[in-house]
Amino acid sequence: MTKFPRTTDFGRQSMFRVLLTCVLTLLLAGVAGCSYVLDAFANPDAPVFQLFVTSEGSLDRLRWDASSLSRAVPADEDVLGRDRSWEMLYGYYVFVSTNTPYDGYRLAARLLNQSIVSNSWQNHEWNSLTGKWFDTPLSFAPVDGLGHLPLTNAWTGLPSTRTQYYRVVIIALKRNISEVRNDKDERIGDSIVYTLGEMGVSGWGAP
Amino acid sequence: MRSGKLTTRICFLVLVLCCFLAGNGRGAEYVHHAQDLLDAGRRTDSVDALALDRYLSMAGRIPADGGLGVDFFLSGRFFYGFPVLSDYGVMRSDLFRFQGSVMLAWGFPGLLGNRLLEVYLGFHGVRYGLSTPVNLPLPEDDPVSTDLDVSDYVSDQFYDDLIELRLVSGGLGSLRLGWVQNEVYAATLDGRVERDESHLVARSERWVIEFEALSLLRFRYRMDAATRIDSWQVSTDIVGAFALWLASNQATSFPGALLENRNSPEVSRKSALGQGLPWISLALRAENYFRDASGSLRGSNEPNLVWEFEAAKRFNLSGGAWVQFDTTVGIFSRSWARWHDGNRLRELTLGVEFMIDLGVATPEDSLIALFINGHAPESGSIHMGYFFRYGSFTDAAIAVLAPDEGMTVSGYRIGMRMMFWNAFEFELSYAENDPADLKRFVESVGRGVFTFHLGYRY
Repeated sequence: MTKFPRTTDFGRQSMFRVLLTCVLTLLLAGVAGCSYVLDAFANPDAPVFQLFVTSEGSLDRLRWDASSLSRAVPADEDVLGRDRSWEMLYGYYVFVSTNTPYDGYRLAARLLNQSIVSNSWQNHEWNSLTGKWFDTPLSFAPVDGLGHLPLTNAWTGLPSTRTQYYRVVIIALKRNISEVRNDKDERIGDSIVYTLGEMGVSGWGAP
Repeated sequence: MRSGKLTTRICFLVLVLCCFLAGNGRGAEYVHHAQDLLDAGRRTDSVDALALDRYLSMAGRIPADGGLGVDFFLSGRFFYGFPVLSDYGVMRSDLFRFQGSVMLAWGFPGLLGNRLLEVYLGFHGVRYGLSTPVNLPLPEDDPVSTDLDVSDYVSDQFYDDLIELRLVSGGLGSLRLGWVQNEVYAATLDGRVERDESHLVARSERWVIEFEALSLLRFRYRMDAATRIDSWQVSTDIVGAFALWLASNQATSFPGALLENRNSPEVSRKSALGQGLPWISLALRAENYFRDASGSLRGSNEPNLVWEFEAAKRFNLSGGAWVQFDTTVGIFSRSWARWHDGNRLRELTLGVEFMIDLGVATPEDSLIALFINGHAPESGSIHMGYFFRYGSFTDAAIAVLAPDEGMTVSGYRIGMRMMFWNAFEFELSYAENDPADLKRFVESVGRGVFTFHLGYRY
């Protein structure tokens, strides 16, 4: 065990003080930068994109960077002719809250990809009870009163106030391919299922 | 010596066991006390609390013949666990909190009736990250209503900075001027937060003005031009001063004792506890938050009345081991307006906090021995201590709040502290439901918090 010098040993104690001061100084300097280092892993649930809100006249104007998801319908088959999974941009949902940036949101607008909304889709699935494939027609067109607007990464809507908070959600149409096998583990084919899913939520924005 | 050390260690282990048992009993029904960080008027409290903590750390350390002192402080808190439900129905969770502070202090003797005039110049900063799950409900017949889950966590980061100038003439009064800047930055593209204009969500500034005179009156005013939130507080420490006068030999009249006093209320409390004297204080605080309708998330006025009663005593034991107890009892009765509907709520709150410091002194003066054996040296160059704080916070609804909305929250903090040459300070601790936070109505309830402190004082 290393013995720390007694108080009468001024030389060694002085050296120890210098050493310890250096260590503490390094610690302090390191800690000062820790908050930035922490950003690398301490924001796991951060928004994936930023929302810019300005007041234009009497209305709030929202804009955000366009999603990198494809707007056109991707090819259903790969170069080898096999069915493939894909994702494409279904649209943006705009939410507004007059309460806080964290609660009280309601859907204010849908900005949807017309190539999805105007097309018809169908799932292709295997029914293990009947032993047959069946198709289910799908429509991704909203039917409520809110309706939808053409797809764009901007929106001008509600009368501007100082207590409105906005968030935008990216929604994607996903084509999922999964292999279906029978009880003998023989490949029967591929099921095709289309789903809508959230692909990112913006930070909150206010004018 | 040997038996004393063993007894102390046994006591320490028992306390550790107790604190874990206490942690298991914390109130899961916590519903309505966490302050919303968007409430900018109170968000200042985070950096204000830091400034007060550092002032208390320095107060009383300047020698009577004057001189210059410096206080450097860094601390970090790392939270884990589940988010809490705030009083506004908002789930949120702190990820981390960093605090930094530099305070310079000068003492000028022989001024203002032969008193020591203390001048404090402080720079304080708090940075914390916030993670809040957000629910974005969809209409029932929405095409994605069955598949879309948009309850997500988002992160913002907050920077609070405070520059303050404090003039203190012990016993006579004090004046404090502070300027506060609050900034909110949104995490963007890559999930990180850069402190630049493109990520800036909100910035507000305010002035803080405080003065205190003869322990009779303490006035505090905050003005925020950006968010149009004004607040003021009036409080008095006169009851505590009167109790101390009663406990003394009463050689002079109470007004005379007030005039002869050379300590500020903060230093009086610190020195009384340090000497093992009882400390009693009763403060009545009236405060009001006013928000212009266009700049307010709340109603226009939020008057609060707070009674704070504190009784504390520290038992100092000499010898090879020491045990120190600090006990604080707080009774809070306040009236406040819930922000989203303006309902007037009244609360009666009882807070009990006690702190125990444990330490052992041995002839071994080895730093390695400190780490291995937990021994503290006797030379005075390096002090090592363990501390354990337990707090219980009871909120009994007495009027508008339904009984099931009351709460009882208990928590503890346990840690170790090393002080080098009475200048460097290093502290590591862990808390669940930090008793100090419970009392201050801030977040971190229901979760564990790792904290480190690094400090330097001269």
